[in-house]
Amino acid sequence: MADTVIAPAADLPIGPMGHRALGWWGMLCVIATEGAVFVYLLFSYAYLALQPHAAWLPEGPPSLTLALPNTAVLVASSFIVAWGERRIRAGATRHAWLALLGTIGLGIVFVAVQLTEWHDKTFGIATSSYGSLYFTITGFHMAHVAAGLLMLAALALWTRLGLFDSRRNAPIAIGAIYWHFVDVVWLAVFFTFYLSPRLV
Amino acid sequence: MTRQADIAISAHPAPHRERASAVALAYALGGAPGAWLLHLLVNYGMADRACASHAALSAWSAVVLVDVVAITIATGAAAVSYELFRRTRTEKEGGVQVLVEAGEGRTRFLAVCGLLASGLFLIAIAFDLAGPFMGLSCA
Amino acid sequence: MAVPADSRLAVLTEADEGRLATRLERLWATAPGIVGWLSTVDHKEIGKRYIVTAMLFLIAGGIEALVMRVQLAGPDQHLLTPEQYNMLFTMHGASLIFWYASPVLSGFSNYLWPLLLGSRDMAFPRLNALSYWIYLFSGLMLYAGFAVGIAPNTGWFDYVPAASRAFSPGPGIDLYAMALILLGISTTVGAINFIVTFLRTRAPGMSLNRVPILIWSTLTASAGNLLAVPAVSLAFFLLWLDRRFGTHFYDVPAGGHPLLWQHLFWMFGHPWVYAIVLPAMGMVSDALPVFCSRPLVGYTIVALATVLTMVLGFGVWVHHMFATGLPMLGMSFFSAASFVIVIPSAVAVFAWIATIAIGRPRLTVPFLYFASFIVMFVIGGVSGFMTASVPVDWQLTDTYFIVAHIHYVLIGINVFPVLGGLTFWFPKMTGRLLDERLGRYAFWLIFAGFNIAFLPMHLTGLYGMPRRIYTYGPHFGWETLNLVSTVGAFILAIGIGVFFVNILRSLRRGMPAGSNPWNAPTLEWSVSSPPPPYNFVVIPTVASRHPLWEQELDETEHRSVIRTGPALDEGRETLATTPVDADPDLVLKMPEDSLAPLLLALALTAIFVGLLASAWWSAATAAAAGLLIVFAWLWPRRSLAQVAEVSHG
Repeated sequence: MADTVIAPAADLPIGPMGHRALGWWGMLCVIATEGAVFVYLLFSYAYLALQPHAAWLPEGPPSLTLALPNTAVLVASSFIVAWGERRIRAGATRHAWLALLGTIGLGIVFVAVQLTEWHDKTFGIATSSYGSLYFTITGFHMAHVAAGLLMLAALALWTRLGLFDSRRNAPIAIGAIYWHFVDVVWLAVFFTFYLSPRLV
Repeated sequence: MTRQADIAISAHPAPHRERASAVALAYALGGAPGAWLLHLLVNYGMADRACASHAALSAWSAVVLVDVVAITIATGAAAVSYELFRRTRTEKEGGVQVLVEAGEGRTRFLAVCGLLASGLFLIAIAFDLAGPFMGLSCA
Repeated sequence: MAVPADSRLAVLTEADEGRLATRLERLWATAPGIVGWLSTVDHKEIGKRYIVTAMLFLIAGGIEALVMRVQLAGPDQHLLTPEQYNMLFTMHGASLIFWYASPVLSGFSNYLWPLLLGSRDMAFPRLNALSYWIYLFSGLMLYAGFAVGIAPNTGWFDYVPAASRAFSPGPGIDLYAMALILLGISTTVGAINFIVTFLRTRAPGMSLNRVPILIWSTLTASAGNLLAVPAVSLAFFLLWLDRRFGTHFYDVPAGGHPLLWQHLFWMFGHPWVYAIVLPAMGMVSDALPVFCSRPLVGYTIVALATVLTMVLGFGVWVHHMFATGLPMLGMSFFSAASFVIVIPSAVAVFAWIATIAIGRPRLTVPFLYFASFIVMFVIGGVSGFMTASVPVDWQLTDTYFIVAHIHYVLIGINVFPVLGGLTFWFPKMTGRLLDERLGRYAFWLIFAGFNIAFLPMHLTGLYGMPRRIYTYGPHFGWETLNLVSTVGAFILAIGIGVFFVNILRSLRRGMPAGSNPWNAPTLEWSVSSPPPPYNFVVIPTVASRHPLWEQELDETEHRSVIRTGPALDEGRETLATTPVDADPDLVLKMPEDSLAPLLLALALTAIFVGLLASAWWSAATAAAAGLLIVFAWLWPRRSLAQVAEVSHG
């Protein structure tokens, strides 16, 4: 009978390291549960949309004039933050900082355009079930963008203070994956509200 | 930065881990449950729609079609599970009986789990065929 | 051999072990005094708090039940007004289903997980404290309302339109909504913690096939909660919007639909049923074999069945809605799935029965609870199986048959394993054994009382008595059955009382337990009772599913190593391993005790109280405070190795 041998082996890193950090795994779980929130929200949209209605869309399919470029803005911000994440792993702290600021900038543009869209609607949250869904779901998404912006702002500050380098940068990876998630959710929301009425 | 870890395991829990790729294992374990969940939601949605527009016959054939697709995916998962199990069955001493009792050999453990899960969900999918064939309609 | 300060590998002699233990004790112990008490992140402390708090909600919900049973003891009673009765059955259901059944299991799992996994704490110790405080405050919020006469009155599943503003204008429903969303945050935070703990902090060698069933089942419940809780939180949030801001999610004239509530609620509700029974079943799967002196029969199949039950549980929600006029074809799919779900449950039942049959049972108090649990699981399972059939469900729905079914499920499959588990692990938690004689009295009172109360309810339901009526006339022929149920309920309550008396007595006067009083096989029994704050002097390495039974079983040629291993004693440290095979991966720096979780929980509670009171500025202020706390909490710290090193060593 042999004991399970414990012998000196490779060096183990100490503390959080990139995707091996526990926080990274925690964020994946957060994304799963927040993703579920949006699945249930979009299910609610589909469920109510499929009920017989006199007039489901108060203004016809929502206009793409602002929404389409705004979608491009958000997608672009994801690429920038991904670039920043690559740069910090290469030790380029300043580039990472600039990338985070750029992402924040585009995120703010997205929110501003969304608020303009809200402002221009001729219906409100209490007008009909469609209005309730539209403002609640885009509002939920905007709240997630706002949370992402706060996260990015903290990361930008910490990067500027030199707290991160090529080895210690797990928080940036964690913030970036959340931002990608917010982006992907927007694509689902965009498809549901802006594209799906054009398909049927 | 790093310190000596000083841990290595002489008796690794999964000596055959190289014989089963992560993708194959994921399909073996998740294929059948995934196919079942998707088919359930699609079937329910379609039956609901078809019944709302009084097109019971199209609902009937759509349900059967979706079931056949789901059964194909689940059967594939069962086949992959079996292949993985065949490759890893000697991972630790003892046959299937020992594996089921003690669970030793992580790779073959997951392969057997995939096989059993695929079986259960094949039953679950096939069960749905009962509805259309018993002549259930929208009433 | 001395233990050098920076040694990763500690080969321990007795003297070394003492020195290392002293060092770890200093690192991990919670500071004395009130601040220490409020800031501790020790999973064992948090686990015990969960259990105690959940037991208080069990008592509260039980008292509410007794009052209702007095009302129903005979026909035409008027102890309670209809309004009071509505509040009572709602508070009873909410307290027990939401604030007792799941948190009590979280308590066991919090206490046991790191001990079972060979680790020093949960993956996120501070989140662990946060989830407890939020849980506590959400419950206090609900009961604070109840104390001043504000309570929900539409049943625990709170159907619209009864719960809409038109039919329930008072603040009770809003209170329920806010408290439940707050509780949902706690559940979600806890679920994330369990999942990451499972994936990353198992002892080296504890590959997926060597994980105790309790771990599998709590993991399954956590994954289920992660995906299911958003549905109910959302349903309540939309309801609150409907009530407060005039949105139209649930009202038909403006394009909403009340069945949207039922869909969202039961998409959550059915997985939740499994979340509150699977960990209890897991406790039985791990503890019952101890009293049969042999391993669980069919470990692999039971572990798999646990997970698959939850997967199936996500596809049966419509069986709660068979009587709502949905198309027959659509319902048939959910009926089919509800039948199939019997298969994994039956697998577990046969595994337990076979374990008893093949083993040499010792008829201790925990064994009595676990064995009777099997019987009640079968009764509750069969009555559930009956209602999986659509036409049978049409006959039985909303009658006392369903009340009997849900109580066989929740008391039979949750309370009995919990009481058995408490008897089983009490010595580990306190270092003292419960009194066996008193324990037997309590068990037989509880067993008899429960069955006298609830077995006749099947018949009451078949005779047509609807659930949730506040009284009934004398001419229906229900009075004898109801009187029997009331008598049974009081016997059950006395039994629970005796159980608690036993606990309080044994805390002081129980026999010293020693580290392994039951001769159990898993890692928690390898450490002293109660365990030290750091759990393990060295991180153990595991070579099988039952490290302490390897000598007797002689299944494999390798042996687990518990006294030798990495010391990890430079600050609070534990080991991270890989998700599938538990190969060593990282040294984790664990956070110290902190008041941040308590403060954040207070801020969150203030937000929800603010929303409830329409005090928007207070809510916003609390939110800002909460954000600042999070910002400070997450600030990268050198002591946790989160910060770039200035110079390299």
